Parts: sequence; C-alpha cells; structure tokens
Amino acid sequence: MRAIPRVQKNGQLGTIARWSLLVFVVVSVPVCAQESLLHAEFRREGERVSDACKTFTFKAVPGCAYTLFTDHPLHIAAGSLPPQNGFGVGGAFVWAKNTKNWRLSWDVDAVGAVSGSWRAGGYMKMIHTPHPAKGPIRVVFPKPGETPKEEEKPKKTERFTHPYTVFNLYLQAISLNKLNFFGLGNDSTLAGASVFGMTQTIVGVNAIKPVYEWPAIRGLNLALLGEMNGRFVDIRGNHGESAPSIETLYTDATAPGLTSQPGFFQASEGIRIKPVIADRLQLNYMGNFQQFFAPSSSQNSFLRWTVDLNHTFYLYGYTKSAPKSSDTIGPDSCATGGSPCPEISRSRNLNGSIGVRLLLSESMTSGTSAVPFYFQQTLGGNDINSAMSLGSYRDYRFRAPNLLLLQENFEHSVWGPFGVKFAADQGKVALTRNDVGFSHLKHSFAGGLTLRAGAFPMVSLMFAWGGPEGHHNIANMNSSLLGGSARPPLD
Amino acid sequence: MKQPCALPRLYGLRHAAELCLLSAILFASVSVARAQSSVTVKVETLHGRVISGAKVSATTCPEPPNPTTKCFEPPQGKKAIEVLDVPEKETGKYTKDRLPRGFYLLFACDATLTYEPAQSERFQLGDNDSKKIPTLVLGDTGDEVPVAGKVGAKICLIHKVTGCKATKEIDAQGTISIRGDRDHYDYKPPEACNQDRERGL
Repeated sequence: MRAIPRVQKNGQLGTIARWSLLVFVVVSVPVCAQESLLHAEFRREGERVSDACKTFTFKAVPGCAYTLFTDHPLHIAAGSLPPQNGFGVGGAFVWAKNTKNWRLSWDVDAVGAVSGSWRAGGYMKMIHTPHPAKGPIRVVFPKPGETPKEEEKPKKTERFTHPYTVFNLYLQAISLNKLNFFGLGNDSTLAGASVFGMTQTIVGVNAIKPVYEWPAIRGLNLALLGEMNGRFVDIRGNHGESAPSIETLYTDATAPGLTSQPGFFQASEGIRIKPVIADRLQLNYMGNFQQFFAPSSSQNSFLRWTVDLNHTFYLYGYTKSAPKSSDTIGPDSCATGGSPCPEISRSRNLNGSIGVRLLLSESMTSGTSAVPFYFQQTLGGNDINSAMSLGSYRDYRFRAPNLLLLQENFEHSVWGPFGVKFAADQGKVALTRNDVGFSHLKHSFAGGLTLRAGAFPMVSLMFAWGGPEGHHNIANMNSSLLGGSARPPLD
Repeated sequence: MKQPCALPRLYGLRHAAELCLLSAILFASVSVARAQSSVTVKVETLHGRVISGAKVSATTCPEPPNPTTKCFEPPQGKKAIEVLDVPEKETGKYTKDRLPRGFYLLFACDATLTYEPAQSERFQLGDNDSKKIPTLVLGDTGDEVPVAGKVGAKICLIHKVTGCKATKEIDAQGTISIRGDRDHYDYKPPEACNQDRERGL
C-alpha cells in the first residue's frame, strides 16, 4: 500500500524533474544561441540601466536619470498635461525597424497625473526612404605585373539634405478633468469662469511630403501636408472645483456642443515653406485648411483655415544653433532608428534667437451650424496644446472661432543647458470673422528660465504680466522627448 | 650656486643622486599610473549572440566644446588618427588598459564582415577611470550587391569607417552579400585584404 504513493511520489518528482529540465532547456536556449530581438534589446537596456544606476552617489544621479528617461525600448515618460491638469508620469515603449525603403518606428506611451487626468497613445511613423537603382560595383582587377590604378572618382553631385516623405498613424486618448471656460469671445469676463472635463480620442493619419524635385525651389524647403482624423469627444461637468461646473452657467446657445458631442471626421490640407536665409534667418510659413464634418449632426460641421508665419533670427547662425527638424522622430524618441539620445550638452557655446510670429485663424460655418466650443482655439496662459499665448491671462481665457495672435520672443543660453526667454504677445479672439483685426488687441509680457536639452527648450518657468487681470506663473515641460515630434493637436 | 636637489649637504653626493633619481621615478610612475584608464566593451549581434574574435579598436576624438567636430579628424598637431587595438579578455568582452585621458570612439566588426560593423557613442575617460561602454551591437540587415566581375572571383570588402576587411566571392548570381549600406564599403582587388590594416577614413 505504501509503495504506490511512493511510486507516485517518485513519479511526481520525476515529472517535476522533467519539467524543470524542460524549463531549464527552454530558458537556456536563448542564452546559448540567439535571443529574440526584443528580448536582446530588453537585456541590453537592463545592462545599461544597471551600469548607469549601480552607485548611489550624487554624481551618478544625472546619468542614471538620463538613462531611465531616455533609454529604449522602455523608458519613463514625463511631461506636462494640458494646463490645469498637472504633470504626467508614466511609461513609454519605443521600437524601430528599417527595411530597404522604409524606416518604421512605433511609440506607445501612457502617463497619468495626480489630478486624475491621463493620456495614452500609440504612434507609428513611416518614413519613405527610396533608394535609387544603382549599377553594379566595379572592381578594377590589375593584370599580373600591373599596379592597381587609382579608382575613378565618382561624379560630384549637388549636395543637399534629402528630405523624405513622412507618414504618421496614431491612436491617442486623453482625459482631462479640469479645463477652464469663461464664455465665448474677446469680451468674456472672469465672473463667467466655469470648469469642465473632456475626454478626446483621436485616430488618424497625417503625411508630410517634401517637394524637392525642382532644384529651383529646393531652397524653400517646401512641403505639402495632409491629415485625416476621427475625433471623438466627450464633455463632462466638474463639480469639485471652486469655479462652477460648465452646465450650471452655460447652455448649448452660449457654449455650442455642450449637451451632445457627435463624432467628427476631420480632414486637413496644407502647405509649408521653411527657407533659411544667409544662415541666420529662418522663415517657417504654414497655411492649412481644415474640414470638420459631424456625420450624425451637421449643425456642428465647420471649416477652418489657419496661416502661421514664423520668423526666427538665429544670433549665432542657423547651422550651429537651430534645433533640427523633429518630423522624422516619434514623440517618445530623440533619435532615429532606435539610436541613443544625444548626450547632455555641457558646452558653453552661445545659443540664441529672436522670433516674430503672426498667427491668424478663421472658422466658417453654414446656415445655423456653430463651431463646437471644445474645438475653438484659445488665447490666455497656455492653450490645450500647451502653447503659451497672452501668458498673463488665465489658461484658456479667451475662446472663439476666430483668432489673431502676434508674438515676439527672445531666447538666449546663459550657462550649460540653462537659458532665459522674454516674450511679448498681442492678440484677440473674435466671434465673427469681421471682428478679426489689429484693433483692441490684448497684450501680455513674459520672462523666465528655460532648460534646454539637445537644443530643444524642454522646461520653461515663466512669469507673465501686463494684462488687466494680474500676473500668471507658468511652468511647462514639453510632453515630447528631446526633439521628438509633437502629438496630434486637440483643437 | 643653487643645487637642483638640496639633499647633497645632508647625505653626500651619491646618496643624494640616488634619492633624487628614485623620487623622479616614483613621481613619474605615480603620474603615469594616474593617467592610465581602462575601457571594457561587449560585442554581440542584434539577436544577442556574443561575438568572440571580433576586431575592436579605439580612436581618440578631439575634445569638445565643438560637438560638430568629427572624431575622424586627426587631433591638432597630429597627422593621423591613432588607432588602438582593444584585445579580447574574456569571450566576447574586450578591454583596453592604459589609455590616457581624453575622448574616444570604439569600433567593432567581426573578422569576416558577416555582420555590419558597429561604432560607440563618443565617451570621455578621465584619470584612473575604468569605464564600461554599452554593448556594441553588430547589425545583421543587409543586401546582395551586384558586382561586375567573373563568378567565383574574389574581392576585398573594406568598411570605410572601421577599416575592417574581408574577402568575398562573387556568387552565381553575380552578387556579393554585404551587411549595412553598400556605400559604407570600398570594393578592392583581393590583394588589398592582405596588406596592412588601414583605416579608410
């Protein structure tokens, strides 16, 4: 009777031993031979993190932090969520794969803030890198007794930075618990302050097609822009703040789109030129035309055109100090093809620029339709895309379908990655297109510190003043990694 | 007359000379020891296969602050770039001792150029610094490059940046297999592979 359990026990032991052996073999196979690509990348990242963070010394902290925030495939994601929603921290996964004619990269990230707001998204970048057909390699084989001849030098071709067509595919969801609404128009008052929450899901594709085929216009850095998005918005009240929730003060008549938010199909076409003149002055002119269609509610459909004229004068030269284009890098990456991020600059090279910008945007509706308030652009503090305009006013202070903004700024490095920035803004929003003009502009000034990394202003601490509504402190950290491209705009 | 070493008055000339010499040797060796650093790097393929017998080399780089300066330019006052071999100490692990302080780049390639050569980021070595560089990963994506020549003919493939060489044979399709971009290589007669290693920078 006892023998059976013993046999069973032995059998169990044998089974365990066999399974252990099998597990050992399965686990050790990748070590002996090859790992999967992902496994190998994770292991190497583990080694790099372990090397950078193995010592708990004051000197090791920056290097360890830099590795944790920038290494790949996994790293910590951090950045400001839209104003009033705090600072988001989370994780990001980046992956890249090159084929003969495409450079592909994927960025997936999710961040959350203590305010309860969050953002999660997946972004795929496809860069078309066609290779022209090349003839066979010619090797000169000398005959016996002959000395090898010098190779024929290839014909000199005109050198220029070859731009590639870039496609972006993305799916992003963002939930923001606190957004300000003061009513529509340039004459809204602080007494009308209210708050609301919003969740927006964007799924779409955009493309940047550089036009470089004609040498005569190559210097313009001309590019055609196109975009198709599905936008799904959900507006909710917020009853936990000192300001009242939006539905207690406003209705559909005063805040179009408040009671119901249909799904939108949004298309956009645009053109951009970025010529550099005398290695000092860069013009960045962009014009685009957007169509917002709400298939289930035509009352919310509208059209919008935008002209954005940016002029930047680089005090120490464009080549030396301008940030490189971020079009080809994902929002969680800072170099192409999964390459490591550029090292932290400790140089004392001077770096500075003066910028002047004119932004004009107008919306058009037909019949009784109105632009939903949550798609209307704002001035004041930082907008929903974290861009500062009329900084001394509260965030999202002025909201309307039409907008005019003039900005002048001066930025200069001070020491290492630290810099100073001064900005002056003048602007207005308008309920009708006829009201857009240069009269009765609101104005604001701002000054503060910037922290640059890889030539990109990553953190800014600004003190803004000048308007009749007091002053405003604005702290912002770029939500894209050093040099990474921007995420799809929310308005 | 002022003595170069004040010891003769105390110990006599011979003793003083010995002591002076000893001090000088001691000082020199301490200085040399202080300025000696080492660097260690692992070499493997993209899929994590450890590469033993790779050619690993180190070159010096000009010092910043000008980050745009390429490491391939000879330092000021020198005509050529100094290329130092980094020997394999353990399987797949390469270590170079006694490197003076400065900025460096490391290169690695396998002996047959079966994989795409790899290059490290620029790194700095201080005095008595012992640094472990992130693993150099040899790429394995490549292409078949058509070559004008007889099937079976041998050609010498030279990687332009690392200077690594390997002999390749033109296959029945009239191609040779390379890893990485075809423009990153020079294609020479097979004799070039027998000549001294050169850096095609």
